[in-house]
Amino acid sequence: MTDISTREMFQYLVGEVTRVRADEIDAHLAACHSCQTELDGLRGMIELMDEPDEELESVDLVPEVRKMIEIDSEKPRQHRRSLPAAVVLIGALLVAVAAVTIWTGFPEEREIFRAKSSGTMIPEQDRWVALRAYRLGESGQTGRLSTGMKNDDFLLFAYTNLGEQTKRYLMIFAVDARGKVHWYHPGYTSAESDPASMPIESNVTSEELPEKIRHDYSAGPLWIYSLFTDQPMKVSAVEAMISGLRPGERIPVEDSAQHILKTVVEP
Amino acid sequence: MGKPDNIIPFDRRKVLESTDKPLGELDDDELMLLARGGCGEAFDTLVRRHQGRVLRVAGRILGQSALAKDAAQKAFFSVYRSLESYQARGRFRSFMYRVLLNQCLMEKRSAKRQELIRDRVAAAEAVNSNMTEKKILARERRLELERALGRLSRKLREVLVLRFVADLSYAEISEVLKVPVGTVKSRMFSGLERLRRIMGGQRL
Repeated sequence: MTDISTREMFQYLVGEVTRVRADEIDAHLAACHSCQTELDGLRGMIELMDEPDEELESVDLVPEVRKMIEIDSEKPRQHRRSLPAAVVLIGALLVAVAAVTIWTGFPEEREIFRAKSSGTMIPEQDRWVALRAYRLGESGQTGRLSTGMKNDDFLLFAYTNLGEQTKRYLMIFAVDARGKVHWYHPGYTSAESDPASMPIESNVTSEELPEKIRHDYSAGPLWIYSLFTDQPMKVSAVEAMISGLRPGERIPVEDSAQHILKTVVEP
Repeated sequence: MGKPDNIIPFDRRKVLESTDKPLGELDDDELMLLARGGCGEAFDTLVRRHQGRVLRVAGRILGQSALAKDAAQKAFFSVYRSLESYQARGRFRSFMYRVLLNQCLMEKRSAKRQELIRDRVAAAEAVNSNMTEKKILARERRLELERALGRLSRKLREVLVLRFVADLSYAEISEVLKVPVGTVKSRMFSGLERLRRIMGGQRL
């Protein structure tokens, strides 16, 4: 085996080579002093990047940050937030013209316009709720659900419900790549039963739901919805609403707060 | 209605509990939510949790420890200003480092700051006379690295620092820089090779 290139050494150091190739490199390094020396140098360079700077890192930023916050809070809000009157006026006119054009001229595009807006503007009530999902694999490992999961993973959930007007009911369900709906809370598997949202705690930062749940999902993207409402809703009503929505789109329930997670189910 | 068989009562091993936990045990999102609710100590906890790494990242990006403190401080202040709009989606670190990189960029661009750098570096040099030989050597090695990082393009430098200093995953870096994971990896290896060449590698 010839000497290993520098790029491959870096790939080896950060675990970006296959197991077979890593074994070959291990064998080569055991016999090649020059490659081993080079590898040590590269490893040292990577480690140097993360070497603490004791002088700099002994600083406590809290007092200075607090001072900045205090100074900021003493500034009159008008100065920080208000725009010059002319800008506001022009903006209002533009919005009014756009609204009239869309409302009267392109009725078939109204829904599209609203959907696009809802994708970029976060409704105020959504900021006070959150859903966290955790994977629980067969071998017992747990972890926060992020970009991917296995089909046979159990899921656990915790929710946040804060704000001046906290919500009273919650539903959690997922829609898989084929559009099939999988319910977590309330539990629902047969068409005969039509359960309603479950009551939830108010003013909680993180309330864990005490069940682990598994479904048979299609491989591909999976959207997990949490629907926080003031009144209980029936599963059938929600399923009827989401049947016409695009994946990940906000559910049109008035006064609701929502948090939609997206992950990918591995084949 | 009976429980379907795919739903199993969990054994109450708490993944998370409510706010009766000490602040230090809450995750970043929880601290942000508490801070938004007016709990100043929650935000202090968040700052203290991340300030070491944030300062180190700012130091490597700016190449000047003197400026790193200002950039880190302002970045945390920006995070505070974002409390109202912050969404607790488990991505605090990506969010924070995006804010920090922007702040570092602004610090670098500020012409006035350059004068300040000279003054502060001069002051730092004066402190050096009291340093032990070991500390001086460590500082020299660090300065050599920072100079080398400074010669990389911004794109390569940011990826290296986010990966090896901030300790972010490829997915998190992809979120911070808004580029695909493949691009993150490609920039990382190019950056490492270039850095090695600058720092005196013989093989390239």
